[in-house]
Parts: sequence; C-alpha cells; structure tokens
Amino acid sequence: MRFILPQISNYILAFLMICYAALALFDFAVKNGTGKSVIAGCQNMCNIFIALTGFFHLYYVSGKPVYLIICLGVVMALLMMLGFTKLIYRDSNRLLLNNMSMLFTVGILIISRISTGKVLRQFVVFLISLMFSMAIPLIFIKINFLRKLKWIYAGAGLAMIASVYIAGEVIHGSRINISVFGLTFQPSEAVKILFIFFLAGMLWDNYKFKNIVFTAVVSALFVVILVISRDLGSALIFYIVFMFVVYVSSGNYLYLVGLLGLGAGFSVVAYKLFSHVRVRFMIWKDPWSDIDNKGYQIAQSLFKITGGGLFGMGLGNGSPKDIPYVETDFIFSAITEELGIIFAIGLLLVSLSSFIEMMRLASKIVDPFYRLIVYGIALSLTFQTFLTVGGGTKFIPLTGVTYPLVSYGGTSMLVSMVMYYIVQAVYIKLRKETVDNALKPFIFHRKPDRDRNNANRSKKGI
Amino acid sequence: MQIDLKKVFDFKPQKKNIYISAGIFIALFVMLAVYITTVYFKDSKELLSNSYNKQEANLLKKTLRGDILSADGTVLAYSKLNADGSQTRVYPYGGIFCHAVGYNAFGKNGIEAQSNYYLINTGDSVLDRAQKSGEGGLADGYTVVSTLNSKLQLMADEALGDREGAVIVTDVKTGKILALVSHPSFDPNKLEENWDYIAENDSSPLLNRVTQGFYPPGSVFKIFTAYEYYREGMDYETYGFDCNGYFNADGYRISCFHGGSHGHVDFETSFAKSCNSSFANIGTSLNNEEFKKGLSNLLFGTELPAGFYNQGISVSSYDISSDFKKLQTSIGQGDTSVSPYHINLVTMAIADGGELMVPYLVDSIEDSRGLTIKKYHPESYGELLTDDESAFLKELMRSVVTKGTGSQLSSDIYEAAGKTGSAEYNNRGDSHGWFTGFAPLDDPEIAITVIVEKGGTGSESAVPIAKKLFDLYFEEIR
Repeated sequence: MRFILPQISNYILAFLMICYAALALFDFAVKNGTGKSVIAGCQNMCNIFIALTGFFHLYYVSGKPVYLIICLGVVMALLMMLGFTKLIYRDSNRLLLNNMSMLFTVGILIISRISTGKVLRQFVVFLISLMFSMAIPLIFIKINFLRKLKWIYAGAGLAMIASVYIAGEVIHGSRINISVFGLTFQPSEAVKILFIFFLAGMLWDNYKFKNIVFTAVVSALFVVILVISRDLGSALIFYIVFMFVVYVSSGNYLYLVGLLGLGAGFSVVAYKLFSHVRVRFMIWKDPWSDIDNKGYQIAQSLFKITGGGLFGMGLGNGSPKDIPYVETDFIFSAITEELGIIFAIGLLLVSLSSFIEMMRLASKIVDPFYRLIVYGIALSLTFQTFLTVGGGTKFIPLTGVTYPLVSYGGTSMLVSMVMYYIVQAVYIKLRKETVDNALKPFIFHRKPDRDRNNANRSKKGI
Repeated sequence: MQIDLKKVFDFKPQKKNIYISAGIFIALFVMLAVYITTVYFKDSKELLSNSYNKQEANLLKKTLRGDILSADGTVLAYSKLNADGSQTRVYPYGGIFCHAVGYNAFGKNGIEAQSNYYLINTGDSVLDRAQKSGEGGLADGYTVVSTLNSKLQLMADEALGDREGAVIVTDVKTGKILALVSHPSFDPNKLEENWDYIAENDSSPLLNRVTQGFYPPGSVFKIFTAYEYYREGMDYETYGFDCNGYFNADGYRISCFHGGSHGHVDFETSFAKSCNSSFANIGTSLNNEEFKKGLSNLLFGTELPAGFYNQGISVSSYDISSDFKKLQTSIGQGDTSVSPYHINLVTMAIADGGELMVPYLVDSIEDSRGLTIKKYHPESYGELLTDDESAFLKELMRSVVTKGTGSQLSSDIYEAAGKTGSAEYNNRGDSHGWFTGFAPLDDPEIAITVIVEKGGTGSESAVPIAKKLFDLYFEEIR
C-alpha cells in the first residue's frame, strides 16, 4: 500500500483535471441555467478533490504535517472565494470563478511542493488580492464615469513604468521591480490594467484614423519604455493587446495586418538594436550550444516537460528546482514533470476556457467601452499564458512572464485576480442593469427578461 | 486625388472581429498543445540522454537499471542495488565487450548510451512495482537484447590476444553486428577508479578501433582497384602481366611484398597472390575521374551508415592527385586511410549481392517478464554494387582462398572468400596484417574483418583469427 497510493494519486489527479477541463468546455454547449449549475457544481467537486488528493499525497510521501495545514487553508480559501462571491454577487459568472479557483489550486499545490516557505506568502497574497478584488464589482456598479478618465490611466501608467525605469532595481539585466517600504512590486503588471482602460477609453466612441494614430503614439511610449527596461514579455503583451483592440474597435482587418507587419518590423529593429533581444532569440534557436550558461534554463525546462511522462513522476518525485526561477517563469514545466503531460494540457484547456468565456461575453456586450475592457483583459491574460508556456517549451523565444494565477508572485497574483474580477464586474453590472431595465436597448442584443428567475436568465446566454 | 481616410478606416465594430480574434488565439493554443505533445513523443528519449539532464537520477530512485544481454542470452551488464540505495553497474566479462556494450559513466557510451532511455524506464505494472517495493527492491528497467553473439565475441577477443587491433563480424543479410572487438580494451567495472590512466594511455584503449581506427588498407584495397577495373569495362579476361618483383613508371618503382616475384600472372592470380607490380600496372590504366567516382560509390569520403551509437566514425580518404600517388593508392599504400568498419561494410555489400544492410547492435527491448516491447528491424542502405560487380568480386575473393594468400581458410564445411593485406606503416617495411572476407560463397551469411596492428602479413596474423571465427560459426553457432 505504501507504494500503491502515491502511484494511483497521479492517475486520479490527471483524471480529475481532464474531467474539469472537459466540463469547462462542455459548458459552452449547455444553454440552460440548471445544466450550467450542475456543471459548475461538478467542477467545484473536481477542484476540491484535486486539492485534497494533491496535498494528501504530499503529506503521504514526505510525512510533513504542514501539508495538511496548507490543505485545510487552501480548501477553506477556495470555499470562501466561491461562496462569498456568489453570496455577494448573485449574478457572478460561475465558469470564470471556477477557473480562477482551479488555476490557483494547481499553482499553490506545485508551489507548496517547491517550497513550503513560499507557500505562506502566496497564500497571504491570495487572500489580500481576493478581499481587494471582491470590492471591484461593487465599485463598477456604482460608478459610471470610468470611460472619461482615459488621460488619468495613460498618465498614471506611464508614470509608473517610467519610475521603474529610473528608480527600479536591476535584476538579471532587467528593470522590472520597484521597492516601496520593503515591499517589492512589479508595476508593469499593474499598468496592464491601466493600459487596457486607456485603450478602451480612447477607442470606444471614436475609431477614426486620426484618433487611432493618436492612441498608437501614446501606446508606443508604453512599449518603448518597457523594451528599454528590458521587460520584453510585457512589451509584447502591450503591443498585442493594442493591435487587437484597435482591430476590434475599428472593425477593420487592415489594422490587424498593418500592425502585425509593423510589429514584425519593430522586432527586427529591436533585434538589431538590443543585445538582450538577440540573446533571447539565439537561445531559442539553439539552447544546446550554450547549455552551461544562457541555454541552461530552457534546456532544464525541456527536460522537465519531456521527463514526466503522460502521468508525471508524482508530486515530490521530480526535481523542479533544477530550473532557476521555476516558481515564477517555469511553473508550467514543473507541473508537467510531476503531474504529467495530460494534466498540463488540461490546465492549458482551463486557461483557454476562461478566454473563450470572456470573448463570448465581449461579443454580447453592446456598450463598446465595456466590450473593449473585457476583450482587452481576455487577450492580455491569454497571451501572457501563451508566452509563458510557449517560452518554457521552446515553442517561442523565452520572455520570462508569469502564468496568471498559477505562478508564484504577489503582483502577478493581484493583477490577474483583479482582471478576472473586472470581467466579473462588467458581467454583474450589465446583468443587473439589464434586469433593472435601466439601459434596456443598449446593453444586450437580445431583449432583456424581466423574470429574475435564474434558469430563465441563463437562457439568454449571458 | 485625395483618399478619404475616413471611408477607408471608419468601420463599425463587429462581433465578427471578436470571433476572428478568438479563433486566432484558440488556434495558437491548439498549436502549442500539439507542439508539446510532439516534443514529448518525439524528443524525450534524446533529451533524456543529454548529460545535463538530471532526470535519470530521479528515475533510478524507483528503477533498477536494466540488463544488457547478448543475442544468445548471456548477461553482459547488470545493476545491483546497494544498501544506501545507489546502484552499481557490473560487467561480468570485464573488458571483452567494452566497446560494444559501452559504459555507464562519464557521459556513457555504446549500448549503455544508445538504449539508456529503456534501461532506466520500467515496463512493470503498478502491481508488480508494488510487490517489488514491498520486498524492498526496485522496479526493473527494460532489458536490452543486443545482436552480439557471446561465443564469437569471446573467440575474437581470445584470438586477438595481447595484440592491438580490431575484429568485426557482421550478418550480411540483416546488418546485425555479431562481434565487435577492439584491443587494447579496458575494464568498464573499474572505469571510474582508473579513468585518468585509461583516458591518457598512449595506446588509447577508449578508442573503438573498428569504427574510429584509421589505417592504410594495404592489399585489401585491391578489392577497390579490381572493382574499378571491372566498372570501367576493361578486359580482365585477357589481362596478363609478367612480374619480376617490381613495376617502373615515370621513374617511380612499386615493389611486390618483400621483393618477391610472381612470374606471369593473369587478373585473377594477380589478385589471389596479391601482386603489387601487376596491380600498379592495372592502376595506371584507370581513368582518374572514374576512379574517384568508383571510390565514392564504395563509401570513400562519405559518412558511413551506422545503426548504433557511435562517437564519430572515421571517414575514409585517399589521394590520387599525382601519378605516383595513384600508383601507390591502387595497391593500398600512399595517403589512403580506412577504418576496419568501412572495409567490413564493403565486404558485406559484395557478399550480399551489392546491397548493404546498415549494421546495428540492439536487437530488441524486453520488459522484466521477457515480453518484447520493441524490435529493431534490418534496414537497407541501398545497392553499393551491381549484381555483376558483386559476382565478379566474389569470384576473385574466392580465388584468394583456393590459390592465394588465404589458403589457410580452406575448409570442408564452408567455402570462404576474402582478401588479405599487409599495410606498411613505416619505411622499414613493418606492416599491419589485414583480412576481410565472408562465407559461405554461394549464399553468404557472415562477413569478418580483422586487423592486427604490427602483425606482419595478413596471412600470418589476421587470417588465423578469421579462420577460428569461421570455424566456430559454421561448426557450433549456425
């Protein structure tokens, strides 16, 4: 038995993950409210069982009771998040809520396996982020002038990243962090939200060429500051978000094609101009020739991706610490090693399900400002996921960004959660207003339903 | 004309655009997932053998490194579990199989390197593993069954004795390597303690002389010269030459071995008795460009095919840039260098009607219950020679045994064919002894190539080794 239990737990984890991901995708096919509730309930079960199985496994193989305490804390935190959000905001989107909870579970599981010291910090960060984020829908419901503050977003955003460039700490050649009162903070993460709000504020009611050029100039400032701060991952995310937001707000595919070409051009210029861009590219092309030094990280990451097998080596059996910065930039590789390819692909599907759900919401929202907000957030989160997973698997050059809600890191956790809750806020606000019939003709394509019955509302598809 | 930019760019926002951008990102994710799965299925074995990969240490906590067996079931390498949980690799035959089986330290080599993935992974079911774990043991890694025949290998090792040199025996129909010996050898059991001595030894025991050795071919090269003469359509049937021990051309002189003379010889006798003067004469009649083409047909200057782990195989070279060098080349001296492996490949192709089977060392992978989970199949490299060319060379090589330098190989049980060589490596006339050949003549099964460094003539040193191996194969193994 001593041997069998940990062996089987991996199959259970992979199975639960696949169940969860399948339900998350199946949710899109289900239109009625009862069905969606059943799915959400099943997802919650999978989620809680993954936490229980994972932490019990860790306790079993290590014999450290601390894992049981973490397990208790995590399960309580999850129930709190799921319960309170639903309690305070009856209209919240359960799929997004469940996905958040799932991503956090996998993250905290693997972080507690990497370092029990870091897990407490991550846990506290999660709770603070949660309390902060829970208030967001409340603010959104009350406030209606968010779209007017576009210059405040731009000014604040630029000021923040510029201050990092001037006063930030240099870590491994990049200026990303800034320390205030002993707390380290990554402003570029938070500026993402301001940037999306700025874009939405600029473009929601005016998609004329002149205005777009004007927006582009300000956006270029953001990107350039990030590139010279060597925060390539963020720069790329900003550019992609800008490109797609312009495309959707204008409705003109020429922008997409043009900006894609321009982006390629910029990349070539950046490649010629900056040695750190060249280095990233060379490592991507061939990490093996410099495996002792620059290629070390990505080579180790590839070993982890391929070394775990379909079902993984089992939590605690791998050696994730072989990869430097595994808990932030390479968490996906650590997950693949110990929990297996199947589990990892399931995790990707969870992120993808969040993306599809956000896009679905965006397509339903008539108010262009909120539509662009939701759309921009969906892109930012998803593209970041793509960058970190693609970078760690050598699919694309490494940019060193975090996996939203999974990776270790305070700012990343806070910002990702705030993003999720902003989408929730828009969802809740619009549903509330629809049902209250306040903005009846403007918000939804379909006619609103007066009936507050849950099942009927969900039939409307939002 | 002014373009109205408003009209070009002023479109209404559309749902469609959101769907399209969603589609783009979904496609990116799908590509990413497919990529990760492909990397896993395609590259994991290769990545696992990277020396920077620390995965192996993790796997060996749960799995006892698998055994390596010979084709006839002898254990060539196994691991035992120490009290502290570490594993010790044991090679029961010491250095006899060291170049073929390799070693499991310092970056690994041989079969240990090639099949590392299987050796450190297990095919045991969860229940088996649980049972073994309950008994305090580990899961068993896969067993690797090599193509080597332990009897042939032991005989080859014994026959070569203390002399430096190399022996390779291959199955011409499949490409299976039946024996691979390189002397001096080293004891892989004590590799770690003796590493400094072994790695820096002047006679390079780590060098696999079969594949990495670089020797003048001597008269063995006459196979290539004869092949080229036939390929250029020369009339070999009416060829005649009066040998009085040397051949003069443009002020250069080529002598027969140790100055002996052969009298009047035809083409076959020139080959059988290995008459240098006659072959120098033959060499002068060859067309330079065609000669180069012919040699590259027979794998000169090309990377040699190998279906086994190797650390680089010598690429054979020659130089016929001047008339004298061409004369020397046609009798296998001058600036010509070959590996025994190359000579064996050509012998295999001649024996097999022109088709070369790619040599390989690992036959199959079995789990701990003896079930084959992977079988390696023979692969053809292609036709090196035509049927006619092969038949012509077989005939010539048979004459070496019937009336030439390889007469010791005459036997009642089998009809062997081959070519001897005495390759001079200094100006004092000292030579390495060569033999390459195959048997039986009608339907060849095995090809043997032997080189004995500083062994004198091929007939004195290399042929007796080949004889022992042929005898053993046809009397006991076959």
